[in-house]
Amino acid sequence: MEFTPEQIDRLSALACLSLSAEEQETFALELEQFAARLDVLLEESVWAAEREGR
Amino acid sequence: MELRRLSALELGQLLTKRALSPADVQKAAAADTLNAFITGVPFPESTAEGSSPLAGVPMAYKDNLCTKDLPTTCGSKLLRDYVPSYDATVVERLTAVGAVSLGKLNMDEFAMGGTSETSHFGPTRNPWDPSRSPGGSSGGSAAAVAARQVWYALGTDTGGSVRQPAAYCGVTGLKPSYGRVSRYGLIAHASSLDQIGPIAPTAADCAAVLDLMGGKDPRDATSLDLPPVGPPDGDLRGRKIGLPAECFGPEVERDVAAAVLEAAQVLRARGATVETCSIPELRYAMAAYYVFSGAEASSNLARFHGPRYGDRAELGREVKARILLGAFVLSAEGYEDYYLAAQRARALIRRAFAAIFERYDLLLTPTAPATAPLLGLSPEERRSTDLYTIPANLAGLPALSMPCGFDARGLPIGVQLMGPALGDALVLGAAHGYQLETDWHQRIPTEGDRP
Repeated sequence: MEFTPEQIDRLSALACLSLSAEEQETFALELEQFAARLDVLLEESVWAAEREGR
Repeated sequence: MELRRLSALELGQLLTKRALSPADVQKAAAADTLNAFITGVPFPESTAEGSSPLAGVPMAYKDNLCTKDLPTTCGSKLLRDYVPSYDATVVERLTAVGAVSLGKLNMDEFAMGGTSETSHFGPTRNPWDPSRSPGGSSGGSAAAVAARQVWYALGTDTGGSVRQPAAYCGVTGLKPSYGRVSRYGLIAHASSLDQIGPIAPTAADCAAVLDLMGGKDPRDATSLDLPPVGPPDGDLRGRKIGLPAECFGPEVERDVAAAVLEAAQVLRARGATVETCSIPELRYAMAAYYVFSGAEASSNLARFHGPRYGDRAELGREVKARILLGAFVLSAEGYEDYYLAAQRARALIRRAFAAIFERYDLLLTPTAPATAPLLGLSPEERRSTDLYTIPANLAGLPALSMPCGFDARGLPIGVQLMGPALGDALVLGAAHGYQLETDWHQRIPTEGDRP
């Protein structure tokens, strides 16, 4: 998942955070990496839960 | 007699018998050269009155526990001037039985971090090697106990923040079962994961502190009415202990794995059965943890906004990153894919623990894959230190870290014992049994004790 500057803007507004341009850029990258790792693990766990009929 | 080598209970006993005066203890207590304290309180001149076995023993609180008329900063610039008008329940209860607080201890900002480096007040240093971190987020608590600035301290544990610093500093730290200790007056990080826990030289000390501060509190609806754990008996005969293979992967340093397996042998020699087991669901824990802790932190920290608290630009980088992550997983874009998925993962983990504790009384793992890191880790590296401690928080289980050796660099290694929900006495009993057989918990960071 990619995080556009607009998306980061929206999220920071939602969280009432004022971010510098540098922070926006860094956090976009960090969130992207984080989401990628979560994707793999959480998808797998959802499948495991479905296999168990939950 | 070298007072720094005594446990908190042993020191308390001597104070009760008046074999020691507060002045003797003050002389023995180390000065703060580690930046372990954010706010210090002068040593009391008279003996504290109280009925507890720890009355008069110097202790201190992590700086996210509210203390009436004493600053409570949470390690944050945002709260640098906050002075609560009330005591947290744990503070109130310990004060009532003669606790002598020397002040408030350094921590990662809002308890977010694993090295104590995100504190606005600068990093705490590890007493075994000041170029290294004491761990976090309760780094000040663990460092202060290890250096014997105090004989016990309170920390808080959301994903390992009591156990990991205890391991890095060579002391004993307990995360009680969720609900055993009231969280009233704790500045929340992630309410479904947070627990307040003791850090002390021994498991017996931790049990004593737990019984003094735990129990039902009408001001915390999640607190439970439970009998005290009592002094641990150390009996391991007939206990079945599992070693989850998932916690001995390639990420574990060789010295750490060897020391933990050696600890397993000690438990075996005291009558326990120890065997390898598997909990594959543990691999989901880290992902689920960051979803919940981010979501709950973004919600909990929403209160620190507006004219009263000033500009949230004063928040540190790590806190902002986690709030942003929380806002994302709670947003329409992230809720189903991440938050709901994490809930399913958490349910799987809880079920897996319930099943494994039908076969085993306790689980034994390294507390952290490696010993204390050098100061200056990247945020990503800082987050990977809680790999084995996070699962207990997700499932609300009791878990304890205690020292079990040193690595080749002379840094303490911690071993973790996990028990079933509300099995705190079982965990403390096994840890006490181990400490009756070994002397790692008696080592202090002085020349003679460094390996």
